[in-house]
Amino acid sequence: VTDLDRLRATYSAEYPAYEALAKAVAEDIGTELQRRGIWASVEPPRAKAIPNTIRKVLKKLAKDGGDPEEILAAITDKAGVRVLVPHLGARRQVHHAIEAIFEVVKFEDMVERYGTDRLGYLGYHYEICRRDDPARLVCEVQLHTRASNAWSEFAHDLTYKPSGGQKVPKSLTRRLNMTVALIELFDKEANRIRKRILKLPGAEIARLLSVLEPEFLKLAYDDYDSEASTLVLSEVALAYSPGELAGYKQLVTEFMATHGERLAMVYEAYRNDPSASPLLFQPESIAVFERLVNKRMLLKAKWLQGGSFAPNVLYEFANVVGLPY
Amino acid sequence: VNLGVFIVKQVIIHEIPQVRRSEKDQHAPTLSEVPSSLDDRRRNFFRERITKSLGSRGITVIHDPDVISPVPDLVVDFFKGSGHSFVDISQKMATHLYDVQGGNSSPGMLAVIDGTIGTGANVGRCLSVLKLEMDAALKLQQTTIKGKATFDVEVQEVTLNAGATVFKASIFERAATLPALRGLVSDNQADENNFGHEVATFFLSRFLGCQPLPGADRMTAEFYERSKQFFNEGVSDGARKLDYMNALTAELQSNRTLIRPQRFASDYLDVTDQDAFVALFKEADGSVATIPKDDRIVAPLLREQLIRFQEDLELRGSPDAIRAHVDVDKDSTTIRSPIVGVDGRRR
Repeated sequence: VTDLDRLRATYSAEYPAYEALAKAVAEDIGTELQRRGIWASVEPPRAKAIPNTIRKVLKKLAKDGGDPEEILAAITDKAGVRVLVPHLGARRQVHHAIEAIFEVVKFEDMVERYGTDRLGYLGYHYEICRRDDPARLVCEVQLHTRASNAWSEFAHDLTYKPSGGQKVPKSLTRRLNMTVALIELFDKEANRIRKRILKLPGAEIARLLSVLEPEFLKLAYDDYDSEASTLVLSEVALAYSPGELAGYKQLVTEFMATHGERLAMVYEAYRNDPSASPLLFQPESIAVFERLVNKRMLLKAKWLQGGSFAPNVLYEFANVVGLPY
Repeated sequence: VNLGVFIVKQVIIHEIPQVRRSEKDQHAPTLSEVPSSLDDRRRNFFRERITKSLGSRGITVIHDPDVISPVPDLVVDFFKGSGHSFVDISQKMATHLYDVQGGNSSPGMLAVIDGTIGTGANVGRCLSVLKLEMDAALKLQQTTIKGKATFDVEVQEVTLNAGATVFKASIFERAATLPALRGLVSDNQADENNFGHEVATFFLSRFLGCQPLPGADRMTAEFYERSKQFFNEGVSDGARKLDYMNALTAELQSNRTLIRPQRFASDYLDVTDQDAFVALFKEADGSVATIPKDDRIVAPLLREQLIRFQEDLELRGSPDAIRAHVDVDKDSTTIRSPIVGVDGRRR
């Protein structure tokens, strides 16, 4: 039995545990994000493939020497999960979620690594353990914005996989690294622009949607048709008083605390129904349901007056939530 | 009964033919031996039909010990889970419907539904019994499942309102005894006045063996009092107060058998007043209760109206006379009638 065989046998025995760990961590994150109503995409979890891991040990061994088993044990990305967020605001929210549910062994904001005079790969990296894992196996979690993820994937392909095993020339690497500044700028600007847009006069519908979306994600962690949401909310918004609009977040939060379970049950009943109301599985379902409970007559009047959607769209939905006209 | 949290689990359907009483012995209902096969669309079709009917015109009912019907016992048996199976219970109900239905009744389908109501820790079983006639959305065909007779359910996509023309529905929540039995019943033929008493009470009384929750006279009086209070305290415009009061009087004097606050608000009140009015009759789940009308207490109050003005002025008269001879503007009232006498009153 050679060292290589022993190494392979050790990791082969560990592999299923890391595979299960990655899957469990991805599920934990998905569940927590839905519970908090944060939209992010959890990429398919992975355990580091056996040949890749052995290769990593051998490279380290060749470079620095040491005990192969110890090098194997020190590898922290045997289980890996990547989470992508649409903007920096969401990254902060996901960061809090990760800190809340896992024991964070190590955290690194990659920007910190570069200091003030260098630029490079962006993102948050975590080494975490599941709190209830007696073996304390470590999983690596990467948290990226979509933009920084696109850059890192592109850069990874070019830097580590040049044709013919040649190193990428310094001038090209420098040019590649220069582009990361654009990504950092883009993420920061995009976040600022998003916040400013929500504060613009006339952005009322976007503001309503920003309140409804987290509550919707708790019910159905899925993408939705935001154009349809805007159109429907433009009608529903007419059925709110200025005071209700000003305190919209509280209004929605309190409503969902009382009636959310009922809407969740309706979502469940209609999940596989091809004739489900077009208002279901959309954030505006919460707004329409709330108005049906609290201002159903005004909602109906405004809906008919607006005329953008057929009366039956409202009547069907009202019936589905048990409040027929 | 919070219909928003009602879920259909299984449905069994029986066909009840139209047969003259004298020929009953020569025919029989077509009884299913197993529940129909359901997917989510079919399940939700029944859910939506029941919600639509009971949610807009369902009244609370209890067992009527003076009527002979096996249905209340069968419902209690179902919840107890002792004796008869769901299929047996539904077959007995279908046979009873066939027995009591007159020759003038249209043929139809009896659907018995095993379901749940509630969420989380509060989920409980419920039983729903429907009679469907001429439902454009529903296509039923006899079939067999593992050699046992049943009906294949096909749902056509038509709007809710274009669906059933005759629909009678009921839903009962878990009850261990007949006195504890309580449910909601609706009958779209019993809502208006153009059907006779027999049609109006057939489903509720002769078939289901139930009666409206006693106290309809008090509930009607309460509707009158709360409405009147809202007009006086919640509406500032004098002309509107009087219009609303006239509408209330007309509604309570009409031949309609049900008071539906939502319909009343929609028909007679300004949209700015409707929600505040409807809120007076709203349940915790946001639904608005339908009240079976019984005007025994309020009838005397409807014969005369009293209008109070500033400066301690009052006007009394029949609603008809007031409607015909009194014009109300924002700041003034005109009585178009000559004075025929004067009197004093002790104060």
